[in-house]
Amino acid sequence: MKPLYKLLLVLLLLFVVLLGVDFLVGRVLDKMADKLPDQSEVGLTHLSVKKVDAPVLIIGSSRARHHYNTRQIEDSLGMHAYTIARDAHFVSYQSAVLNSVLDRYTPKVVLWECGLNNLFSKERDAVHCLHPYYYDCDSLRSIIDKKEGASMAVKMRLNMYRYNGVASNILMLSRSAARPDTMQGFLPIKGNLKGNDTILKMPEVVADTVDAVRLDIFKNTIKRMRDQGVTVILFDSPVYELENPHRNMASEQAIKDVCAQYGVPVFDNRYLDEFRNSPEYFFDPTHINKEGTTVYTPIVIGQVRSVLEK
Amino acid sequence: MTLTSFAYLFFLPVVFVLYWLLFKRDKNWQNAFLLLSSLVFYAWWDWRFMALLLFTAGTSFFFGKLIAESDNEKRRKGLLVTVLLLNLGILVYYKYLGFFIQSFVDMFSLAGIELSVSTLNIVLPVGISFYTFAALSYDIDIYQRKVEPTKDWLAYFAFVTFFPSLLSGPISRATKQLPQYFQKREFSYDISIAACRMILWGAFIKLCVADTLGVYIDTIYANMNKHNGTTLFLAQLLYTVQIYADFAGYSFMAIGSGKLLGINLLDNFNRPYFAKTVTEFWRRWHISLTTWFRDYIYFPMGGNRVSKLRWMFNTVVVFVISGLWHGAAYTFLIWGALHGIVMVIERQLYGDKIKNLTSKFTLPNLVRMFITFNLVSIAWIFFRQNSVADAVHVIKSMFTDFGKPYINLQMFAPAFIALAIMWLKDLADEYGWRLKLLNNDRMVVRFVTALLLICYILLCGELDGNLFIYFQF
Repeated sequence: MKPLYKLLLVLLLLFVVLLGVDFLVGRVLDKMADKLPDQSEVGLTHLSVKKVDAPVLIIGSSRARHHYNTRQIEDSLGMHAYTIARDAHFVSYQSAVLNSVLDRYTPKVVLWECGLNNLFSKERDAVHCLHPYYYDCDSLRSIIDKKEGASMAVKMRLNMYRYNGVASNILMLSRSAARPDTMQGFLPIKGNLKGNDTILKMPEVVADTVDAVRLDIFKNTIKRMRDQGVTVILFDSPVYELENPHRNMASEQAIKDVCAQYGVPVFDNRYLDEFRNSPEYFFDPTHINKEGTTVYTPIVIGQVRSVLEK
Repeated sequence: MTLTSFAYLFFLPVVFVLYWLLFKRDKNWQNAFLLLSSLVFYAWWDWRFMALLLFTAGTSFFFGKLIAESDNEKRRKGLLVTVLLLNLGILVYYKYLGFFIQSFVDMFSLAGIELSVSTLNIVLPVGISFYTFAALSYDIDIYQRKVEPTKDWLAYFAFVTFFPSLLSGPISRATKQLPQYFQKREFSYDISIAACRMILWGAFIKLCVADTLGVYIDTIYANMNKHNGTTLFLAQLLYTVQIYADFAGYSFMAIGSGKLLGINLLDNFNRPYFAKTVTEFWRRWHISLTTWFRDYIYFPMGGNRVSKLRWMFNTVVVFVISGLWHGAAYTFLIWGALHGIVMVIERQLYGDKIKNLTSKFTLPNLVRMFITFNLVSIAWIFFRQNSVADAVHVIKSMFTDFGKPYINLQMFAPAFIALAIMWLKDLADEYGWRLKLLNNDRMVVRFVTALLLICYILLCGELDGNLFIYFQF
């Protein structure tokens, strides 16, 4: 055999064996992902995409996860509630998760803390951790394709690629990251602002542009929820300190325009009087602590009621 | 397209198969196809700068011919200076003009005069520092009569634009690489297998060590003021590892890609963190750049055949230039100067013994390695930070603000396993220990090792992540 053909044959053999191993690894990880504790980040994503069935959902990033006392909201509204927010995962992730939920069932109320600044193109907006569910849901798949390009359809054929970056969490069953104090997805934070932390260090997004892809994903998700009769309410929860004077309003305006178009109320709670100059309610400038949630959740409940009673 | 991109995963095999199946007729066909592939590769990145690449290759080829044809020393020198000015001028415009103007404005500002200069947003053409140096080496070598000029423009253009080394080296040298393009390359199974192993190993250390550590390091440095000195110290140590894994990984992939196409590129790394002195470190780190500076700047300045004081000056100047080659910023300048100064001090401490330190695994050598690693690591602080003030802040915090380091086990575990594998392999290679996996005598072991590395890359590598650190240079 010619040396070149011999080499190509060896590489082909390696590729075939790799596909076999990939199939087995994929199966094992699929099974293990089902056993992840819900209190871990990866487990929470798995639950959000595959299992959650509550009529009231709270979604967003860390500010949603730590600010809304789910049980209090559940008791007050008389409907089962669950927080499916994940730290550092923003509009596109949240939209993809909501779409996967809508593929399975129609929740009654969605409280969405999407972050009014999060449409800026320089803000983080990863959907990487949703790769394992690429083939589970068409709408989730289309969001990943929109965000990461058409080549994803080829890459995702490899199970190991689908689980890239998530596999180590699954293999450890995410135990080290599991937070047992999580209650129905809500995780209160303990601690107060200290020293330098009292200075607001929000990223100053100046003269940045609104990400068209992100805006499109957000708009389609809002539209779909409204078409299916979901009551959607947008929130932005308190921040410590005054408004960032350099803030560009484009993202905020784009979100508010979409909401106005589809009749979605927006409660901009960032500068509530109850929280202004009250460092005891904050863990850091952008996150309220456990004490803060006891003040904030009743305000949210009141706002939700006002919408539901209309 | 980068060497770890999804596109390259298809590009290289297609080029490889076409090259050996359809274009194997003679060297002209091979060179033409290499040139075409390289241009496609470069245009994939940014087609607008292709003209610049071809201009550099064209002028160096043309002037090389003129220099060789002339017997008049003055004219030869004039021609060399012209081509140097032309190509270095382009480099200076794209890379340094903004820096010089800003320094100028700052200087006036210190004197209380505020100048209003609009900011220059010049986009740096990728790979410009690398291909300019490759092209210039040809003209300088012709001037120094080390190499004969070629009439084969196709071979020359294929040499300057050769895609595996185009973006981040190893910096090609006319004396060593160009003759390979004058003859037809023959396929070799053994060399190709070795090349595949190099590419795989390079991808492993880049994606599983450098990029996964990079996620942690970038997180820390993005919020530097929020972290204590211990965390900054840890981040800095890891950056020392990251930059090695990043650049060595790239170099292995480039050299492996070159071998697959029958072209040998220069070695670029030889386990630099096993160096016992900073002087030795530079014989092991970015070898193609170090030897370029040695041959074209250090030796013409007199090298070490000058007075001690002049030698000290030469050494520091060469390293300052090397620092500035990396980027137009004071941080790079300080980084280069620090290396030069430490080398001068080492020479005073060790004398001529510095050339003859044994490479045995002994306690004194371990201590020397430890000291060298830490000196290099401290210098990297200036290399990594955006400003001198940031670098000083990191150093100050490291020695004053102690506390519990921020560690994310989920993030760390895969990176540390990969790091341990890389370190073990380097250790075994350094001391000749028998730990053969990818090049084991038994095929099954080789096969399984390759398979495991691929699986590890797919599962734990940072696949959609960072560019190579050296791309910015």
